[in-house]
Amino acid sequence: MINMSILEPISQSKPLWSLDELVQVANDVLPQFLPEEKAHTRVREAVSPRLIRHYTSQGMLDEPLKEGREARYVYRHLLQVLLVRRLLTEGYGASVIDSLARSKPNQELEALLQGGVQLTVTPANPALAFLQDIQQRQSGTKRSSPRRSLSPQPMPLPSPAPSASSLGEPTQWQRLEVLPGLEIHVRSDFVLPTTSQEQHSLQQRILQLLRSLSRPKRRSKS
Amino acid sequence: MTMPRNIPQVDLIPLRAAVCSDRTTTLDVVIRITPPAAPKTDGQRPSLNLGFVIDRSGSMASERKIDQARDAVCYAIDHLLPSDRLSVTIFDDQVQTIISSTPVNNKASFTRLVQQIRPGGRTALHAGWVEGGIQVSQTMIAQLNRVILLSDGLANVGETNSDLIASDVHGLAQRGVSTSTMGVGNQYNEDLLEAMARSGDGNYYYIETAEQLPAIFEQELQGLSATMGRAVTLAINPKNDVVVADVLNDLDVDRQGRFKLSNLLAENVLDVVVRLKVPALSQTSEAQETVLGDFCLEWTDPERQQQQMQVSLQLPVVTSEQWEDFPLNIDVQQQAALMMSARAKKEAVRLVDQGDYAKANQVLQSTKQQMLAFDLPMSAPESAALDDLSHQLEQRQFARYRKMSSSQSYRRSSRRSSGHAELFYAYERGPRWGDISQQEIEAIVNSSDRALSSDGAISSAIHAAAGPELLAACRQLRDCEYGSAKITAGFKLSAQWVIHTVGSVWPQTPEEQEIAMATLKQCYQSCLQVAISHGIRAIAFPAIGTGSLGFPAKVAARIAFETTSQFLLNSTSIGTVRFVCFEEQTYQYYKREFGRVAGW
Repeated sequence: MINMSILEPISQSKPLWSLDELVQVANDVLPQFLPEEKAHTRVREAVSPRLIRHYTSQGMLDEPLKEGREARYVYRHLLQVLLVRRLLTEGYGASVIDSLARSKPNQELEALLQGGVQLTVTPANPALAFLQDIQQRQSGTKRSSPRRSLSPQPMPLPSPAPSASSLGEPTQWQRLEVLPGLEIHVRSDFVLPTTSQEQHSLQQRILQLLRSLSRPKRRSKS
Repeated sequence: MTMPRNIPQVDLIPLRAAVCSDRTTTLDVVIRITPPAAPKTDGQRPSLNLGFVIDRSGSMASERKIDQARDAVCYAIDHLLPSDRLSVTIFDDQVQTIISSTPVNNKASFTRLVQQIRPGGRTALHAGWVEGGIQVSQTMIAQLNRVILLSDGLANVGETNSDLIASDVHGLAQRGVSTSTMGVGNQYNEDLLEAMARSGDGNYYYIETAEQLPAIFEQELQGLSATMGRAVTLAINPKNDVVVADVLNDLDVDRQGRFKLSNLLAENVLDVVVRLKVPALSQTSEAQETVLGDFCLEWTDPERQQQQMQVSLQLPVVTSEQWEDFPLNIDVQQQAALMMSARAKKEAVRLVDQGDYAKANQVLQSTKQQMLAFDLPMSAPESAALDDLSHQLEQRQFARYRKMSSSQSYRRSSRRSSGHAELFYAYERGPRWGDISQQEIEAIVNSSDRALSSDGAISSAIHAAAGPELLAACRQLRDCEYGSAKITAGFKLSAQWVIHTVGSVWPQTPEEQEIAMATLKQCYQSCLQVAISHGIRAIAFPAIGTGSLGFPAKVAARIAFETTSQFLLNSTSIGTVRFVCFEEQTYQYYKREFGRVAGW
């Protein structure tokens, strides 16, 4: 089975949408990219033409293309809308998101949304990130910044998973037995992705790895 | 949008049920928040994700503190469900996680790990808290995520700045992990631990002796299991030129000017006392009321949904002459007096910190006199508490004085704002060993039989002391059901009233024993209800069930204290409950049980 990303066919159709069309496509796929619990409980998370214009005026999305007087949107706009919505739903302030979606190439936007292939993105865990910040403050240069800003709004953006060794912590692993003969080792700072798209990508990745293992084995047996 | 299934009830109770048309009215109003009862089955309580952070610095070795702390953590482990998570972090100079965040699936091995904790070096309190927080934060799928930190010493390694520690705790609370703190003994920094609990949306406990630790853990766990709302705030929006002159509780205020309340726990009533200045308003008819202000309660429910409800205070406007005829609400008067007493305790601590002991003692003494002059049900226990503080101060026991005082103020303002905040004084500092018939108190309770005869040890003693009129009065009442209570005069007794109640005999089978225990519980509840309906403020109970009824003293003592404390924690209409045991062995059981509930 191939990893059938729902974004891939859209990308390949090289769309050129009107504002209303973009809104419709975005709302169709949006639930896949929001954290599970929120995707189901909140209906009003849908985007509207007004919201898209607002995000554009805030500099969070690229300006639309023009076809005569009409605004036209492409696949990249869709990626930006999805990412912005997702971050807002997770509690990031608009000021933090700022031009994040505009500054990333398409592949990175896709990776951020799908988690998936490399899994370099730690899904947001504001509490953990906050405490790791404190740890770094304590272990870092003494008294250089005795008072951090205590503003509760801007939360740290998703960053690559900190390697446990950099925190001076013993690394802890948990072993889960999936089937007889198959164990998964999980490091204590691993956080399960929250969106169905990311979870799907994770599944695919695991299957892919397992297949790559079993192929040479079979050959050696035969 | 989901509709909230369980919402608290909010009542606005004014000191007088009107304001004046011809002059400014100063009006105290109690905002009474009554959370709904907890769901019946155990499985329905919110799932918990707890991080225990235990101080094992060298000082914990003294007075068996470390032993009690271990036992308390094991108790907690024993009472968690497989659906909960826990971690245990210990700290001295070093921080070590002995159980990293895990579902509670192997109680035996966790308990073994905890039992291996040994005391070590100095106190890296902040680093210990951070590590405990990281353990809790790793898996945030539970409905309630909390770090429970226990310490007996001053933070003296790593981050020691109180403000900075408290703001870290606050930051974590905003991200969904709350913090409760427990201070053991008299050497720790109560200002720091209280500030951490306040900014951490958790509870702070002063634990004078380590023996109380298991009971305090029990209390904290019960509270967590009963949590129906966290991040609770109250916004007060006065209308029609009304001014909020004062909020008598000592509460922190958030950026939006909302008052931060303690968590909503099932059936745990919270009172906020607000003093309003109401300008002369144009007169209305009786039926037409003027809006004085809106009160908006907001909280986060266990499903992480933001909830809110609003109530508005509306009262008729009358002339000041008519106003005088409106009765004073004694409950409001009493709550305001208790809040002012809590404030005076805090003021006295401030004076002591400045070295002005004489003035501090003066504040305590004058507050006590005021409390007695009010002549309210709570006058006796509250003035006893003030007396003890004053005594500590005179003895120059500053560390103990300061902790007792600030913890009393804290409790009265937050989780114990309604009802008795200090059960220790509600029970007159402990049960007595003596004869119930000789008690000088408003009402005594008689453990009688269904015919209300003078048979039985307790009943015959009371009847002998009261004279034959008592039996005559009992005959007129005819009989009394099991678990009910009836009242007569006290005749020749010092007590003005006798409340007669009927317990059942301790049976053989466990099922029947359950029923007998429920009946005994009803006896206590019925007696308290009869007392309230007769305006009785002080009542003495014998050790009901322990005589010829044959209850084991341990069972009888547990039911006695659990039933009465449940009542006292939510009501201040009875100020004093005294237990009088005739047998010395029974008395020892009652003393032990008192020790367990006194710190709740």
